[in-house]
Amino acid sequence: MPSIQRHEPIPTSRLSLRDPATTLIVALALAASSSGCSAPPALPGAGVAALPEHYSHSIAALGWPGAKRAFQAGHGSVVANGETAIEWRLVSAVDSCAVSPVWFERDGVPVAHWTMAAAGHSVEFEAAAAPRSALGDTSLVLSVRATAEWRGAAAGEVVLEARVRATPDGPTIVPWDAPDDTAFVEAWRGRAAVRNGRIVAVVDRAATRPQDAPTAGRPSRTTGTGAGTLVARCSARLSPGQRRHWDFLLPLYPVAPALRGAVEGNAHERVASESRRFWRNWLARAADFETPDTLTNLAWRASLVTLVASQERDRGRWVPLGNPFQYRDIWLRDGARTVRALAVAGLTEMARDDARTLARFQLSNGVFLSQRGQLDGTGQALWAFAQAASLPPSAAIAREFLPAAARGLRWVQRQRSATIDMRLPTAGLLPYGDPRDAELVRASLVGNDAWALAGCRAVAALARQAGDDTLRREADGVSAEYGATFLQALAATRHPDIPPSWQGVGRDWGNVVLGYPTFVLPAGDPRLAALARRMHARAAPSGLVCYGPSDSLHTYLGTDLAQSSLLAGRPAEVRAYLAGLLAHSSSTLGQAEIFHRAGGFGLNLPPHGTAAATIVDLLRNMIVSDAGDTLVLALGAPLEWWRGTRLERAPTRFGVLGVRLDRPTADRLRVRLDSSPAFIRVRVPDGARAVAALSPGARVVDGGWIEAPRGTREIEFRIALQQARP
Amino acid sequence: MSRQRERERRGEPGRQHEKRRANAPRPVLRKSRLHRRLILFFAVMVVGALGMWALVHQQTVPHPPPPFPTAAIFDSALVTFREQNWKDALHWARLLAAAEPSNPAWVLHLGVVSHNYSFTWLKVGRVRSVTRTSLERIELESRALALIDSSAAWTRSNEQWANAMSQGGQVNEALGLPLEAPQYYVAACERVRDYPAALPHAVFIAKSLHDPPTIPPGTVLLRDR
Repeated sequence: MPSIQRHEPIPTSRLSLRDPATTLIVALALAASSSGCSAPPALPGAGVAALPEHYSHSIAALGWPGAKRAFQAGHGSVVANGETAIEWRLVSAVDSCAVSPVWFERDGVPVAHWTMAAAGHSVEFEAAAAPRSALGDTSLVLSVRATAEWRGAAAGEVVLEARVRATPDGPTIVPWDAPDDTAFVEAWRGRAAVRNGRIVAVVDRAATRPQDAPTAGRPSRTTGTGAGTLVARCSARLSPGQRRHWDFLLPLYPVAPALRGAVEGNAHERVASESRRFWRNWLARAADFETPDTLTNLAWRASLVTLVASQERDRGRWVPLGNPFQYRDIWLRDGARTVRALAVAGLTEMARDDARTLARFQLSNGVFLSQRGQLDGTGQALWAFAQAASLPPSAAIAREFLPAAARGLRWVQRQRSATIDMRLPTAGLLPYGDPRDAELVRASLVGNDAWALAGCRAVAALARQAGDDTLRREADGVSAEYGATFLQALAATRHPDIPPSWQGVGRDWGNVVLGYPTFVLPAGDPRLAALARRMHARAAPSGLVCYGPSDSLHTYLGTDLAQSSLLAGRPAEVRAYLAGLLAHSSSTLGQAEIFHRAGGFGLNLPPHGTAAATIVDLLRNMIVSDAGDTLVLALGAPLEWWRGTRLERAPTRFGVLGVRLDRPTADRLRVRLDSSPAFIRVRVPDGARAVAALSPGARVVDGGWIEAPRGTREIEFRIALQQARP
Repeated sequence: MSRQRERERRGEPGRQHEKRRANAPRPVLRKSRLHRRLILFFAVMVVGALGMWALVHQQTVPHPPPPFPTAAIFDSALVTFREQNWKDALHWARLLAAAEPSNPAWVLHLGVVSHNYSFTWLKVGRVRSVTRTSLERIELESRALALIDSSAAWTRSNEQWANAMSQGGQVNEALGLPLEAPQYYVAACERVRDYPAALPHAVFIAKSLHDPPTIPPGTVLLRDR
């Protein structure tokens, strides 16, 4: 039976956390937007990052690396594990009740918060997940605390009802390993709700059940995904300002009655503090990214949480998943991005483990294949190996990946030789592929060749690192020949920008990677700029790009084009793209892969792993870029970021380093490094022009760059403010 | 090495030993005998216990089930194959290959069924693959290709060899490897002239390589996502 309570996300205005008085703004926004309530809803706790929800449904993932499912929080006041949901109704709300979006905490910790607000009272929810050894190493328990507060002038009664159901209303994903049950035998066993003989939820000690509630001796039967007979009520008479809380527990997998204690015995404070401690530790292990823009900082942390939560274990190694819900599977195209993001973020061991998992996709002929027909997988796997081995550089890791990389290189070379021998129209390139995804066409895909070429170059880099000169020469030879063939083929298409396939058909997908990260074309190539213009024009004014129809926006397809713009010296485009992306993110800064302009994402639930990975990579490159032989700093940093930006413990191809940007006086900018392993170029931000280098060894180049030799630890220069560059 | 130490090493009694023996009190000798008896007793006990343990352990280890007659396994394998019940077919194919590991036909069968299983979608309940992740799928495919190659290597019949090659071609074709698949098909046709299970595939792929039969975007469902 569907819920009769209206779940209306509170449409808070666009809001960033730049202002320290954010909480107050949120309060005002909530007060202004709640309908049907005579009093403003309660404020979320001070540690909550109350961001606006940009999708039509507010959904967040509460996961844990190694778990085989994730909890879904939202849309509305509901939590779910894919086969069981607990849904709350504020019975004491007389007319209507507004439910806020789901929020995480201000330090990025994925402890979920939301609020149900009605006239005179509200209930704040806090939900945290943590593992319990008794439940196994792939399971978790979710603890939810509902805290009611009476804000009316006179005392009143709060009545909160919790109902157990199979799946929530609205978008949800049933996990692969969930049973297909549609009929349930229900009973209460003390505080535990039992469905089909297993404990699915536990309610608060103070919760009351109806007199005719089913028991073990007198169970009831229900069918369908809606609520059945497992209903419990928590009520309290509260005086003005008084608070009262109730706790609920939801295991990730239903548990046998014998394990009731393992679920029931979890105090909310313990679960929440364990979850906070665990996630803070993970985030502390990563590179420290801080800018004056707190929304951007939070995006970095939220993306890392998504990447770490989207990891399972197999044969003792981490496995990178597409996302915590519907994409609990491995794609080389997504896994490779995850490896890169984790590597640049300093989560080195997880990145290397993920790369080792990608190596398992190699067939005996050398090809790497995760999904049939996706021939870009070989190049992506080889590229991922090089990322894992070079961020930071490790000859041992390079040697570890070298045998698989050599087989991959030879597969590419055999494919190219075969297309030459067969005198195919695409001689010297890969044959046609049918990826059943992305380009959605069976054709010779430009992206396949771009990735394969990047893969060959990656093998050369790995061989160089590992000291294998023979393989390096072989890989360099293949890369040079392949690169020339590629450019000839691209010229022969006579396409105004870059087509998705050599035949010209297909959706834009692999053609966006030619500038970054494959570096097949120089970032400043006009064809890349033209492609970006074409794709952004279709998606205007979102700032993103479309995938397929012009009403469908994509959250990571355009990021590679933004990276090309960054490397080409057009940071304003990058910042506009980033602003567009954050303006189309969830209230927990997750991104749906594809969504309708109106905000619907169907069953393609956020957060998407590749969107998270590309955000991490983009933000890192905006501060530190090691794409070439020079360490390029502040490439995408606007003048405001020079008020205090730092990226600490950041792995680069030159080693791990820390960078700080600041503005000691109005006319001076300064870069400080904790090591300086390469020649340095610093980009002068838009709106300013360098007039003098103040540090020894540094020099101004064209007013837009400062160059300094290797070993320079501090670069200070004087600027003159000017109009923004076109 | 001194003579005394050399004698000690060889176990020969030297003067020092004799002296010690002569000086040693008799009760010590009785204690020593008692020790030896105790050690012997414990050794017997340990050996006995180990023997008992081995006996019990042998009894508790389940004996392998008596082998089915291959014909009976074959019947089940055939039925499940025809029903395209790949989960059960894989079970029977494994038994068949285990019953006669050197029979190339059964090895080929196991390879083909492994491939089919990796592609299977559950027929009951909601739509989902029988395998949870692409790692499982690709490992099944990898095993399928290895088994098919092994079968081809063992077989002595041209017909069976061409069949194995043809199946190898189909696995590669299904994996979306348009240059690997024809190698198998062409090999089959070279051994058995115009082998009917391989020739049409070889011709289709050859044409596709020169002019891929593109499908307009939007007409294909997101099958794998």
